[in-house]
Amino acid sequence: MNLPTPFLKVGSIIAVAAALGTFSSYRFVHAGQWLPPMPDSVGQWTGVEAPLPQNTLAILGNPMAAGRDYTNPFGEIVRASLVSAGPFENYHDPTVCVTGGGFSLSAKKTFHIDGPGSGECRAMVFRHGDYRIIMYYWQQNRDGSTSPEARMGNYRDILARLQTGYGAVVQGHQTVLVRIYASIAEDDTDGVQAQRNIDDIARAIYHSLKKNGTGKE
Amino acid sequence: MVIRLRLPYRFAGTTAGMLALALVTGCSEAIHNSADDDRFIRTHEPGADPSPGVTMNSGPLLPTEVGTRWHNRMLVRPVNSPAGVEGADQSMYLGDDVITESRPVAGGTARDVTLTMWQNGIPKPYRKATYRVKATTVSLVSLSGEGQSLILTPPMPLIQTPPQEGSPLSWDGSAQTAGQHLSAKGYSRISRRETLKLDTGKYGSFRVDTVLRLDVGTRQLTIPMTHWFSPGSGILKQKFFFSNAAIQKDVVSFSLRKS
Repeated sequence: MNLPTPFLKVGSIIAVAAALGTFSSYRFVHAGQWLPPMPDSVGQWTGVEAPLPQNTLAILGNPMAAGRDYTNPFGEIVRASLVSAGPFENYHDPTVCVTGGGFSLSAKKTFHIDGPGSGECRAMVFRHGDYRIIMYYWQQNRDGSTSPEARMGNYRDILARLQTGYGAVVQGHQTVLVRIYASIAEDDTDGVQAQRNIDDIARAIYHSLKKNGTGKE
Repeated sequence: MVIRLRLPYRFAGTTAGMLALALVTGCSEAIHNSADDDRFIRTHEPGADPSPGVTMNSGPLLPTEVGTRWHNRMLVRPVNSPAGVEGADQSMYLGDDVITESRPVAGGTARDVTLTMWQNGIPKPYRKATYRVKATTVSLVSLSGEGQSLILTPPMPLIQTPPQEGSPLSWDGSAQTAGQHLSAKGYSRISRRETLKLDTGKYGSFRVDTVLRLDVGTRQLTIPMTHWFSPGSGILKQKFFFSNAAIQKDVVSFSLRKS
């Protein structure tokens, strides 16, 4: 049976699009299949498992995820979570999610997690009256590279989305989203101790993920 | 019937432009960063000072001469519940801490300095604290008052020189109290440097947070305390718990004795 040329052309286009779609879907699923463990303890910090609430996971599209609360001898707590990043819906940015609960974003800076040459994170302060939370956020790929940008905030992040798609589909990245946060105590002037606490945990998790992903540490 | 809607070329161009703009810049409101709290995030530039603007004097972290006196104002708040919720009722007292004893120990390489505390001029001291002062460390030896005492063996280090912010000191030892010897752990760290304003001027200080944990049977008793050490001037501020009260002690003036 000979099909007319126009049908063949359209059929080819549909077949290629379907193949690309299937490949992209596979790559996005593959991107969200890496969930490395977090360190049990970090120096004098003791960690306990703290799973993410079910409703939070539902909002994120039920990705693989893990949470851990670290407590130091002074009773201060730092909370950490890892979310495997596959489809775009896994990428809810803290600037969108946290600000929904009555908090506002009152500071944001980007810097290296553990000095020059290490990956970058985005530090943010969220404020609700006099109560403040400081959070570090970054995406870490299995090859150890990191990215601190919002990958799904609102429509203005379209370039970041393209980057995410390129990373997952073309480069085959497997990625986890890292959130580490702590309350800033009332008498912690300028949050010096809260940030020091977060630094301890952030550095440990960054190096642990790097080691787990590629062993290049 | 086919309805053909023909938009003027100029209008179609504007619509396409607006759509493109919406895709790139967003339809919703931007997430506003007020930047009010920028000081809460340090970017760890090499050599950056974590507590900028605090000037330290020189001198020992705790003077050792008998007769040295700190005049202070104390805020006392009752602790209402076992969970440690502090009540709103506050009492204020004036008091004095005086070095009443200073004796050489450890072959003369250290001194045990006892501070005796009076309240509102009442002649009976209500509390005593003994610190071991070495060239490199200040440690807590004992606390006593109202018939109770706590003796730490070996003395628990609170601060060491050169003072380094953020680095915790840990201690394992025993605590003798009410005729019992309890195993104990302690942790101290300089949280930050702070400038304290006294009647006599401004003084740079190291804020030292300490936690002492006593194993009492199957329970663990946690005793938190905070000291502000000012080189050359001694302990200029304290926070601690005593007899079910949370106490904050702020020095308002002091007089040093020269040896």
